Amino acid sequence: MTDATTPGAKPAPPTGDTPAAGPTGGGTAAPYAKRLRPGIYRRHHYLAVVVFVAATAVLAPMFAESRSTQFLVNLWLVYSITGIGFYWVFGLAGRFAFCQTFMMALGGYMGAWVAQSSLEGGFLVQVALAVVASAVVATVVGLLVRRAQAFYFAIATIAVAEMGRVFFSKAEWFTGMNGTRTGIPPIRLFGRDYIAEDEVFWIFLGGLALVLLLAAVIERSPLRRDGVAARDNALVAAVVGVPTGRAQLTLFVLGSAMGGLSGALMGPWTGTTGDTSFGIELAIGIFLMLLLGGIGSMWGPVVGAAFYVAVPDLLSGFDKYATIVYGALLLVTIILMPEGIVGGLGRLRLRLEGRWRRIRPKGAVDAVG
Amino acid sequence: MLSADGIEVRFGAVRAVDGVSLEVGDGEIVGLVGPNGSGKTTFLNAVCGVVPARGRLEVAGHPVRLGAPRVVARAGIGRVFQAPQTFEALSCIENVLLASADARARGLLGATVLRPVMWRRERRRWLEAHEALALVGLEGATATPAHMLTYGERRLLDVARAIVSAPRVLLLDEPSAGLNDSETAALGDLLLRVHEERGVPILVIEHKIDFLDRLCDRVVVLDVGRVIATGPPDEIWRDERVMSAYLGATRAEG
Repeated sequence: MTDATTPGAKPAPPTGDTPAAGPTGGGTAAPYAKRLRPGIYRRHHYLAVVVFVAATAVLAPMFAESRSTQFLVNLWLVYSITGIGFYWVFGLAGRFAFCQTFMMALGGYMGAWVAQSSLEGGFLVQVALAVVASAVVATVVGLLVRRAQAFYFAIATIAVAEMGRVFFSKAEWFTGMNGTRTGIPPIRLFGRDYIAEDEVFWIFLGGLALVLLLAAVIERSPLRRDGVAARDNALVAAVVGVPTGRAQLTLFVLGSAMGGLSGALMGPWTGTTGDTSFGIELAIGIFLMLLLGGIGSMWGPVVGAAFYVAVPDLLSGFDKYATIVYGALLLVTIILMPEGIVGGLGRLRLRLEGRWRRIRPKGAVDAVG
Repeated sequence: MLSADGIEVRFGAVRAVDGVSLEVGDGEIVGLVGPNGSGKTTFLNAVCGVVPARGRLEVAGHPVRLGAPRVVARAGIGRVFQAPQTFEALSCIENVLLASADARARGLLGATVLRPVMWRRERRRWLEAHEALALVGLEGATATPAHMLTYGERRLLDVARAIVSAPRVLLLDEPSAGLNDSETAALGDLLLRVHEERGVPILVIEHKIDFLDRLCDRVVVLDVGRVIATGPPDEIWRDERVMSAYLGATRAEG
């Protein structure tokens, strides 16, 4: 799925506010149903996306004074895109996929190939074909190993990534000399070029905004709970009637497509696309972004990516001890906030509001005696 | 309503279920009893498609493929497991919604371009789910995360999830396990209420004789993977074959 088809459509909330009838009492269903909607639909996903994008648009340029800081901000934005994709694959569908960086590389090469081959496709065409290519490959992979669970899926996707690496090193017509494409033309959109870091920022922020909207509509849909059920107990979910395979495949393909998207954004930004930018370090990094930020929320990878990009840079003052301090900081974060930064903050908020006591049902126990 | 014919499950050389044929008619509550290891749960697993099995299965006269859990669920078989199987990351109503028979606008299209359809369907699904929760007495807990429920409440949630899709037959595996006497009695009331209000035939594995006497029209006894007796509860308890299967041959004779 391409960005262009991402609907920003708001759910049409049922109108009327008087609960007309009980569940069995007849009357119009809609107003009554609104009171019954699961908690996930009561959250303000769209508002959060708007606030986040607006805040980033205002704060990031103020914060990013130097070119190198702006580079890091842009890196954070593209990593957030691939991280949100991985949130669908790993966080929602519970798939241990190690091929997210392969999807990024595929998207990167595809975009570059589209730009530099006789197609000479524009920026949007590059991005669209990169997304389609990674989605198609992910569909094939997902269907082939659909029965593999947990670590078997992980191993299968590692194999896919390795095969991809070999393919990329051989297919020079596609990946360029020695698997590196250089001289990728800069982003050109609406009749102007986006070359400087602070120009690229706006394109990336727009891309992330669309991906966040897609994430919001998925959060607010039955697909999310089907994925979660398949993740937590696929067998029971299937017995219950959940289309587990379909939900997991959908989320895997969608997440992989976001990997392809971020790869396709990086090529025209840096001018090159090479296999080395998508190595094992980044593969682990994507896991880290999700675990650090919080696996239980679409905002987890966004926060985690910020940590992943910013902290090593902030620690550069520690010089040769920077790696050790970084490692220690990771450990402390994971020990103090096992549910990630977003999860930890959410728990803190609940505690402050005293919600734990209030949502405990009264009277439910009486039903069994 | 449910008709299983010659169901056979093998684990290596062991025939855990050895050609079990069993019917549950409209409006019937059938008990499935037998000593430990007699193949009761394996039989239910075979019917639900959880373990590979051979044999024939029909629901409401239509043949159903064995070994495909989701196909079986779609055919109208609701299952309650022995240990409550709730999805702890979801709220109570979401747990029930998983089992909704209405599969439309549930995937990517529903989440994106078909959102109006999805919302219409969802609202209807919420109502159904709430009705099922109300029937088991959990209407006050719809928004509660499932991990906050007690053991007994989880069992009720499983029952609600099993009945929301208006199943043609309900399979329960030792629903009273882990419940005390008053909880068991309340669960019996609930199952009778479900049976009457929804008209669902029930097949229930159970060890508690009082519970079976109260609920069941008919009891089927399994031993070493075979049906050894079937009949009304009071007759079954007097049957010699059943006594020897449960208590051992010498004890039954003496």
